[in-house]
Amino acid sequence: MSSIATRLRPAPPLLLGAGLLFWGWQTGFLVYAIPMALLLELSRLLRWRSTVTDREYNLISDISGLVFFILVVYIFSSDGAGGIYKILSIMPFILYLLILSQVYGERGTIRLSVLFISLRKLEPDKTLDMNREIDLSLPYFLLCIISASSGNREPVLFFLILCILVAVVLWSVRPRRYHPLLWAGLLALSLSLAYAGQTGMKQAQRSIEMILMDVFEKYMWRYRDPDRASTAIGSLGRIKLSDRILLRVDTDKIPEKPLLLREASYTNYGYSVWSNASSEFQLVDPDVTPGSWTLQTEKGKSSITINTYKIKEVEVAPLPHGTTSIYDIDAFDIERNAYGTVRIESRDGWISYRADYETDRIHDAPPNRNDLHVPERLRKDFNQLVREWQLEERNAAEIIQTVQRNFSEHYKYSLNNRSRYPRGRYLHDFLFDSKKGHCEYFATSTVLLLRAAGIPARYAVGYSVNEYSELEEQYVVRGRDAHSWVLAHVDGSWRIVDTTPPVWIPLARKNTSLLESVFDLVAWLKYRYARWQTDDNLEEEINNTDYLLWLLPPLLLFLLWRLYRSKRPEKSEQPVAGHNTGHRERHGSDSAMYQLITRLEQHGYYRRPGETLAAWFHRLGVESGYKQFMQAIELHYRYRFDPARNDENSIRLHLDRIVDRILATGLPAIDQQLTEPADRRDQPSPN
Amino acid sequence: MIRKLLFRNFRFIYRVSRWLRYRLTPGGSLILGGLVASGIFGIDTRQSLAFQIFAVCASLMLFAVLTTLIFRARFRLRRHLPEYATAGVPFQYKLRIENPGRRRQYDLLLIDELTERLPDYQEFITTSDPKDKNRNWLDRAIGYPRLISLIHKNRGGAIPAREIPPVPAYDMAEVDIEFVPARRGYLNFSAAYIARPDPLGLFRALRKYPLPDSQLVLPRIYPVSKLNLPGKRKYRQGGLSLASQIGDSQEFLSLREYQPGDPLRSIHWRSYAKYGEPVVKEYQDEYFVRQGLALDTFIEHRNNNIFEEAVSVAASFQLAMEEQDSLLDLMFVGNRAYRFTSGRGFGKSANILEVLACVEPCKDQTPESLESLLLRHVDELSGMVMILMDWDSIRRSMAAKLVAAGIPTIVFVLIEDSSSPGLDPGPLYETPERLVALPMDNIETSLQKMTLELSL
Repeated sequence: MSSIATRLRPAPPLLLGAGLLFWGWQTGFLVYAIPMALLLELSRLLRWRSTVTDREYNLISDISGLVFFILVVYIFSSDGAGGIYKILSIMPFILYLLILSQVYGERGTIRLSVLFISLRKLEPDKTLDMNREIDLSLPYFLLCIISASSGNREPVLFFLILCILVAVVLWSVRPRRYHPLLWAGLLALSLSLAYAGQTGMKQAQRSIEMILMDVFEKYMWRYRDPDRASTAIGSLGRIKLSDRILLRVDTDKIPEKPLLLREASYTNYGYSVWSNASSEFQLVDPDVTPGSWTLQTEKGKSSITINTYKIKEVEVAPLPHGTTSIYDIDAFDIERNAYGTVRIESRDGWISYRADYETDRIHDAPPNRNDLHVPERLRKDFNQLVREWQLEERNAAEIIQTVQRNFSEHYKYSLNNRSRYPRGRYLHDFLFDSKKGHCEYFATSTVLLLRAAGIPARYAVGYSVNEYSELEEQYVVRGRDAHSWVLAHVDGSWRIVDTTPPVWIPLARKNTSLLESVFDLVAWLKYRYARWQTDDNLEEEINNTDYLLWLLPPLLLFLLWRLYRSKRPEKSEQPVAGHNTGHRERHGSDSAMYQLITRLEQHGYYRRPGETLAAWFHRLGVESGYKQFMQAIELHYRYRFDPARNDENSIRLHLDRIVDRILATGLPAIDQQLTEPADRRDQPSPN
Repeated sequence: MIRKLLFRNFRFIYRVSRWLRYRLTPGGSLILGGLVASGIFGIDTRQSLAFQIFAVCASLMLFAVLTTLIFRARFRLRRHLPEYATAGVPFQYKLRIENPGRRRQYDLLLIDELTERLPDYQEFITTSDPKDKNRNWLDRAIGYPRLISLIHKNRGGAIPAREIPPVPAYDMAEVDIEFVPARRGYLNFSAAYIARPDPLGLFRALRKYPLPDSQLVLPRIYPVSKLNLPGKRKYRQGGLSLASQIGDSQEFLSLREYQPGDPLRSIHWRSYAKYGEPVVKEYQDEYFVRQGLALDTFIEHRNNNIFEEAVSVAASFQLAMEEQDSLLDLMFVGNRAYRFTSGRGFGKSANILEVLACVEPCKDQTPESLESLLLRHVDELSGMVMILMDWDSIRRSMAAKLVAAGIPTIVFVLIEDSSSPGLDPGPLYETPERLVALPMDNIETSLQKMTLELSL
């Protein structure tokens, strides 16, 4: 008879081995998986079992936990977050000792408290079932399967084998009240749906990835396109700027006003987009000194160190205006265009470079007619403003001064735009009505206004360096520090004109998260770690984290020594009297009942831990001769436990006779009666 | 605020975990585990094939759930409870399942359920759990294990699910259920569930059978030796006509079945061997005195567990003194002052144990009310055993008044643990051995040791 089990059953024969082989094949550990599987399955043939105490189980579990922890640290430090699949692939190794000790242990199960340290101290509390015994074989099999999935090979074959193995597991736990055909039909249906599901999941991921990539590119990381820059002019609602640290800047002297790091300059404006008609990049010749490129022969007076994270190999580099040389950089090539935009080709990831610069000498290409062009539809507005602000008859320096003064006195900085206007009317609204906007409004208007007043001007974008981090002891530049300003050509050279009111810096910081300092600390630790690792990689051939591996052998040796030296249970505590060779001979241990017990166990009818004799016989289902069994138990108890020891000899003789009779006739009868092999499965090793 | 939020989450987690325990077979738990693990590792379908395992597990669970939506079989259930159970002692009862249908039913599971009351936030933060000292700091700080322990205690125990033997058509089957009551008082059974697995053996269909019942659980009993209180035999006016003999003897009276709390040395081993069940010898003690057993119910700011132990100690003495040919007055203050007399045909010890099973801590009166109760009956008493939860000035004065009245008094005081400082005998300075401290962590041994030492 089979019934619903309230506890997990042991894995059916050969399943564990199959799971291990599957894992080995998929992950490339087949050489190890074969002996591991053989050793586990051999336990079904071997009768040898070891007495493993709870303490030893706990120690094995702790060793496994410790090894797991060390490997997690090691793999994460060498492989980063991607190491999770590597850890997954070696999990069967880590827990192998535990399953091995269960399989070859006398009990055949382990206590729940072995896996959870928190339960160990609570063991005396039996009312909460803390001492529950569990069989780890099926969970270990599941672990092998999930680990096998990290191999990521031949999806169709993987799915097929997965289905077969799952079917074997489910067959072993299936309820007998249903016809096997119903079971098989339902299973086939489920697996078909699973196949469709897994195909769908794959496609769903592809679609989600596409959407996320779009969003990421749009909002999270601003790739600077040297040919084109969309502005948020005309966007509705509050512009959300990221608090993420994008650059780390170290300067040799403290700048008097916020240093501007330019990424690109543009000349043409149309419908909220700045662009360059043509911006061909040209390679800069490297210097003789490795990692050094000279952009201008004159040497800059100031120098700066910039650290940033590149996610593409070729990216525009933020640099101060008037950069003369770039050095201490691990780059393949450096190129620049006529508008002063510099592009670096190097490995993706963290990159650091130094630059010498002279802000007063900006060596961009001289102005052309595009730098004086004001779009037709905006010309009327800007000409009107030129008149209103009386810019016509002034010299360039005065014009710039007037423009700066007027913008700072009559215009306000705001990241909010709540009004909706027809396309192309945003600048008009900014200039004449609302007089509120963010840096792109100010810079765009200034460029066009200067052009209308006859001064060549360009629109520049990049970052403002204004936040000094005490923690990092250097400047940090966040997403919210992105800025735009103007380059005006005055007296034969380019000059920076920034008309955005300086209040923009504190305003942009206004909605900073309370947790920003925590995030900053985490970001800094990640940065330091990444730098440390990169430096080590550069300086040494061997990855320094390898030394962690050297910690493992002595640790394992120590733990194994502890395991070996830990106290063994006294032989006299073994339940079978025949094994009782110790000096503490107990009274009644020569009872004939022990012969019966041994014979029954030899026939494969194993007694569960803590099971009384009566309960055992009852479980075995002996019906004929039941009275004889009960009589034997009664006599055995009297012989074994009666302190007065009256009629000791007669009881023993009587018991001997009954046991002989049972052994002569009873056992074959039990064999016939026991048709259900499930009871035998309670044993550690079935015959 | 955070703690309150956590508490609400705990209640939710507890409900979910209970639902899962009821609904999932062990195989189902395994598949659910696989579903969660493969869900984590399979989130990126390019990195591993775990998403295939996720799909298989999810699909299996889906079909398993769908096939349990219909459970047509009907049963009639009847619970057979014994008269008493004892807290902390395994307790057995039977549940009979009748199958009125035409089909043989098998592979079924029986889940019997005690009424459950989830504690409210106030109860959760004010109740302390003695098991907390064995827990790690994280468990203690978070408090979820304490909540589980509290729910377990409120409920009164955890009844394990039992497999139902096959029930033939138009026939019945009996299931033996055993569990350990976690507390004294009434345990309320609410309903029993019959569970049927789905064809894949992962999920269970449940049918609830309302089956309200209650079971009285007597307090936990400690084995204590008989306490021979000194005391004069006094003339009792009326009501003691059953007193048949006066004098002392160790005369063998009879054999009777073992009851929890009987000392091991009174087991009659031969009869035990003969019947297969423990049998104890009963002697007739011909003392004839009226003794008092005073129970302190004034818990004040102290832990509720100390009160539970006090009740257990009182019950143990009640049972130990039952065999004496004397009257025993149990006195305590609940919502009013109570005195229950047992012995010599007045009332059975079991009745007094029932009273003790239901005694509650007194919150609206002061220890003085117990004092006035004791002094009201002091003239009738030959000796007094007091079980106190503190040894403060009020209680000392109570003992002093009894001693002054010439009543031999033994005082048991429950203290937090063995490391607590010794007690000042106070009014018992002449007989300091009659003041016994019972540390909470070692009551059983202390009681056995003390009662043996007290040769009064």
